[in-house]
Amino acid sequence: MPLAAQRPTVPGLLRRGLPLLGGALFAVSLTACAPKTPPVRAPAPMDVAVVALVAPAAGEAVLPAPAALARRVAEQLSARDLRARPLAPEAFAAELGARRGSARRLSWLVEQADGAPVVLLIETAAFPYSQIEGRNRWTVNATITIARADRPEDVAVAELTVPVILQFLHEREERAVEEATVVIERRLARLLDEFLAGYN
Amino acid sequence: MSLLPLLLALPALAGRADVAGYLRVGTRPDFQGGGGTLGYWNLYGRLLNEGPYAALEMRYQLLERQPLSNDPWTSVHLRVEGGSVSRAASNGSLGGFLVSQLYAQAGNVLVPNVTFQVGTLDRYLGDLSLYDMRPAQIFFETVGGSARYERGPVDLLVGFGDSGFFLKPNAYNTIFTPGALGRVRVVEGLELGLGGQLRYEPAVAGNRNAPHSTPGIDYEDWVRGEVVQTFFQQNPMRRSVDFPDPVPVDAKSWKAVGYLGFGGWGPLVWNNLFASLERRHPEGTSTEFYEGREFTLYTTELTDERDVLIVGDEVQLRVIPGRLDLVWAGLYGRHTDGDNAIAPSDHARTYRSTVLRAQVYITDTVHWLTESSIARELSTNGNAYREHQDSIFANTDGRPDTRGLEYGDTNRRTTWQGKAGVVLNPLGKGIYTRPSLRFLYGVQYSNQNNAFGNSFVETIDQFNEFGNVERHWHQVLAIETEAWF
Repeated sequence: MPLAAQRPTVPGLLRRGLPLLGGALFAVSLTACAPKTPPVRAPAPMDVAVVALVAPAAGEAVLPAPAALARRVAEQLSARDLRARPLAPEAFAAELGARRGSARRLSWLVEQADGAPVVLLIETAAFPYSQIEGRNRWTVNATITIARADRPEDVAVAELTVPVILQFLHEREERAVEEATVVIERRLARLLDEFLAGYN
Repeated sequence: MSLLPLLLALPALAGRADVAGYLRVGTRPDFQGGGGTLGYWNLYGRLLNEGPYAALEMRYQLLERQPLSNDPWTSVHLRVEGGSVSRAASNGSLGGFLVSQLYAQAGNVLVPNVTFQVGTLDRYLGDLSLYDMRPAQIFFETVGGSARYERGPVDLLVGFGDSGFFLKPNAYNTIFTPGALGRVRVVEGLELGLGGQLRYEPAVAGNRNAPHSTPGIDYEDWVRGEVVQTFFQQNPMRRSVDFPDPVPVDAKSWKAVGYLGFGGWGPLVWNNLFASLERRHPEGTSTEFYEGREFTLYTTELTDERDVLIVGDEVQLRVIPGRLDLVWAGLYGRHTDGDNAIAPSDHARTYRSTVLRAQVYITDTVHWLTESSIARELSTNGNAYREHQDSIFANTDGRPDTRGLEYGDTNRRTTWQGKAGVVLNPLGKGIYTRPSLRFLYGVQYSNQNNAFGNSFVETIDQFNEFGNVERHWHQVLAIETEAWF
């Protein structure tokens, strides 16, 4: 039987690889052309009192949301001519830990609005689900509430449950919420648009 | 404000069902006749070396966990997983899936911060993600009960159960399995973990599924399948019923695991170092046919000295934040078999490997992945690999030896792999962010001939109408996706 030794040469590998590389670059270039939906802007620039929190599994105080989520929230507000005015964590950690339920927390936030015409409350909680295929599956529950400070009954609410995959056991609730940031941000954007579309 | 409580929906406290899962599926066109993987196994990195796989875990929360609360909660879990995917692997039969996990959990019952689990107990301290290996894992094969205390820097699990149905599915016998696993955060950014388990299978006279040993078996005869033949050659006047009866013996095995994790400093995201030392549980029986009759050989004492040492490390580095991440892993394995000094086998080998993956973030969602690995495997009982297409009868020093126990013409396998391509990550940056849609090219060089899954004809006799091919380079294209959810 003939011996068919096969040993690819560098030009041969390049010849096979270049079409793949070209296809990849074409795919990348397409992403720059993807249309984006423009956000709904506020009728006039205004402040928004913001609290974004993580409710831990145990304890008596809530924690501030991870910096990544706070930054994305500020970006979404800014894109709509809204200025984020986050409350300091020490101002709300114990107060909102003692108040269970979004309604009571929102009432407290409205009282702290200090002239801001709009308040935004983002409540998150994360719980482990199981270990699956080498990762740690968590579930992040989030409730986003936007309301007018002068008319709190004019409120927009979104609840979402986000599956999150963490790689390390030492990563806990805050990291889980950080990992859910992209999904929470996306839902926040839509909720802001809905809220501002009916704002007068 | 009076309308607010009506407008704000309350979350459900009970009766919530949800699912989690994992999937890996794709196509790897292979113009060299391979079976869809770049190399033989994930020692060369899991990427392009694993086939399709799916897992679905269903959870029903009978009483949901609440934040800022020590109230009791409970849930039930059922996981189904397997690698049979129509059009991607085999025929997609659901028979290729198994119920791998079934358990109930209850937390804050009797003791705060303690979770009781009854059912399957699988638990691990982490993962060598580039290899898809979990050395620091216990209770993988065990069903029973466990209690896990978790508060602050301490995470401690103790449990016991039975591994008999997993280790001996067709000849069940109780294998009592106690164990414990602990993890402690020494300081922020530094963790230690230790654990282990025992397996004890008692001798039970009269139970055919209990561990036994057939006396007087020579290991070489057993490997060759000539135990019965040798017995009757040496005892020509004996009848079949005179073949030695098995003797009940205890079977014991154990596993110890360790973990060191540190990170969160500068570009070092995290480093996981795992080690495990395991004495594998003895095998039960094998069969031989002699003069038309089947004989069962009880092999507990022929398989009770198989040890496995595995040490693995994986480090994640954020080299240029937002632009370039690296993961670098290394693995060392040593399998020894105190009963076997003559025949190459998976229980008598060492291997070492390193894998490096770099991911460049072209945009938030479009990344460029590059990975390379080098691995060396050494068979400690002689030749186990074929370097050449005409080496089927080659033995030490290339001598043909049809009675030899070796296979092939070398005891070393050296494998290099390179992989590169575009990755689409809709959820953004992160070397382990999923889902990933990958378009990859992979190339492998191995000193072993055709070192990848294939269905080539290996015989070199004159009636082989397909011929033989010598091939040390192998390449595949891959369009695939991987996701946890």
